[in-house]
Amino acid sequence: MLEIPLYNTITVGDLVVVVTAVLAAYLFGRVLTISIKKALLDKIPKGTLNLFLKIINIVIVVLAFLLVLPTSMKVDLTGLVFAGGLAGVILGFASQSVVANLVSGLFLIFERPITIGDNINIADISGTVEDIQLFSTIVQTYEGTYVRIPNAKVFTSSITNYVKNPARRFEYTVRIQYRDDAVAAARIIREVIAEHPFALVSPEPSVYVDTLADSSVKIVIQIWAPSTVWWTVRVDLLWSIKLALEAGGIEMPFPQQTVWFGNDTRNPGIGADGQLDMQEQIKKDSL
Amino acid sequence: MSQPAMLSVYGTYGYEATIGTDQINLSVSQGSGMVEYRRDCAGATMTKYVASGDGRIIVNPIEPVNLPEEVTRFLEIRFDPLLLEPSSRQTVYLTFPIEIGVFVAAKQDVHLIDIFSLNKPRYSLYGLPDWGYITRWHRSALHHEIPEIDPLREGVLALEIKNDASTWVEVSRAVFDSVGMKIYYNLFVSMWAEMRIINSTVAETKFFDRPLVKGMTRSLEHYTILKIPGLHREEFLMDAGLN
Repeated sequence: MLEIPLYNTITVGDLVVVVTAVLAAYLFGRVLTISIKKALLDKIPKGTLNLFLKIINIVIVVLAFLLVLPTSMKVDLTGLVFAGGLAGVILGFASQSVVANLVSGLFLIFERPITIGDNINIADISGTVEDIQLFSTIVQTYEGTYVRIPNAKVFTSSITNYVKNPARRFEYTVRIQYRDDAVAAARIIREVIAEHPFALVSPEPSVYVDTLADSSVKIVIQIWAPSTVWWTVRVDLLWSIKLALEAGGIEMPFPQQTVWFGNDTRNPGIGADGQLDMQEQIKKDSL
Repeated sequence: MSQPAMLSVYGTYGYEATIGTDQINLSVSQGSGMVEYRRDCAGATMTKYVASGDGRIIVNPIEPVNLPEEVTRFLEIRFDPLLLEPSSRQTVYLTFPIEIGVFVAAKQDVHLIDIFSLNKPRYSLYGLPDWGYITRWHRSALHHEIPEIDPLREGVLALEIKNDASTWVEVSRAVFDSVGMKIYYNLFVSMWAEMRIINSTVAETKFFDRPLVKGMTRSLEHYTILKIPGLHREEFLMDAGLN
C-alpha cells in the first residue's frame, strides 16, 4: 500500500512521512507555544503575544516541511536554497528597518522600561503609553494626539518614565522680601505642605533659604509625592503656599532696580558726597 | 472597657433610614423605584441615586487606603520604639485610621457607593524612591491594653510582635497589605495582626481573621467585593527596615 507510486518516484509512504513530519512539527509547535504563553502571559500584551506565538508556530512547520522534502519527496532544494538566499538578501535589505523594529520591540517587551499607562518622554514626545506592539509603540500625548513611534527609535532613544518609581520630587522657588522673616515663611510653607495628603511624610519635604538675590530672598521648597499624582500635588500646593504666605504678612516682591542719573539733583539721595548716598538708597530700595 | 454610647453609624439598614451622629448624617429614602442616598459629613454633602426596588444599605469601616483617591494598598503605622528581647513575643495595641464604606446590597450582590472619613489622610514612602511602597501613614501611641477611642475616627489594632531573631530588635513601625485586612466592629472597630521579626531589619506582617472581643461583626471589605483576580497575597514582607 505504502509502495503505491503517486507521481514519478514519489509513493504513498513518502507522502505519509511528509504529512507525519508536518503534523509532528505542528504538535511540537503547539506544546512549545503553550509553554511560552504560560511564561510570558503577564509580561507581554495578549495581542502581541498571540502574534508572536503564531509566527513561531509557522516557522516550525515550514522548517519541518523543508527538512523532510529532499528525502521523502526527492526534491532537490539546491535551487530553492539559492533562490531563497537571493530572496533573503533582497528581503533583508528591503525589510531592514522592519526587522530592527521587531527586534527592538522584543527587547522592549522583555526589558520593560515602559508599560502601558506610563507617563513618558521618548525622543521629545511626552504622553501616556497606550500600547506596546511588536513593531511600534503608541503614545497619546497630553494634548490627546495619537503618535506611533517605531520601536527601533524607542529603543535607541533615551526614555524618561515619570511613573516608573513609586515616588518623585518636585521643587518650587519662592521669593520673599528682605524685610520679611524667612524663618516664619518656612514655617508657614511647612504647615501648608503638611495639610496636603499626598505630600509625603517620608522622605520629608525640604524648605530652606537658598539664595540672597538682588531684590529678594529665595526660598527653595522640595516635596516628594506619589509619582501617579505628583502633578496634582504640584498644582495644588503652589497656590496654597502663595495664599498662606500673603495671609501671614509675607510678600513676594517684584524684581526691581533703581536707576539714578548723575545730574538728577531733585533726588535727595544724591548730594555733594553722591556715591555713598546712592548706594545707601539702592540698599534701602532692595529692602 | 467603657465605650461612648451611640456614636457608631455602622450596621445594616433598609431603604428608608436616617443614620446620624453629631459628626455624620446619612439618609436613605425611596420613591418611584429610586433610592436617594445622602451623606452630610465634615461640611460636605454627597448625594447618590440608586435604581433598586428592594435591598439593604450596609455601613461599615473598610480598608483605610482609599481617600482622597486610591494610590496604594499599603498601611503604615508609626509608633513609639519598642525594644524586644531575643526570641520573645509581645502583644501591643495600636490605632489605625477609619474610612467608612457605604454599600448597597440587592439580589445577592453588593456594590460600594460611598467612602468617607473624618480623618485627614497622610501618605508616606516605605523604602527608597526607586523600589519602595507608597503607604497610607498613621501615627499611633503604643498601648498595653485596648484604648478608648472614637470608633468613627480610629480603630484598635492588636499587634502580636514575635521576635524570631536571636538578637535584641527595636521596632517602631509596621506596614500591612490592606488586601488581607479583616475588620470587625460593634461599638468599636478592631483588627488583629501579627508581625514576625526575622532579623533586625526584616519582618513579615499579616492579619488574623478574628475579632478582638466576642460578638463583633465582620466588615464587608472593599478589596473582597472588587473580586480582582490575583489579589490574594495576605502577608507583607517589611524588607526596608523596622524603624
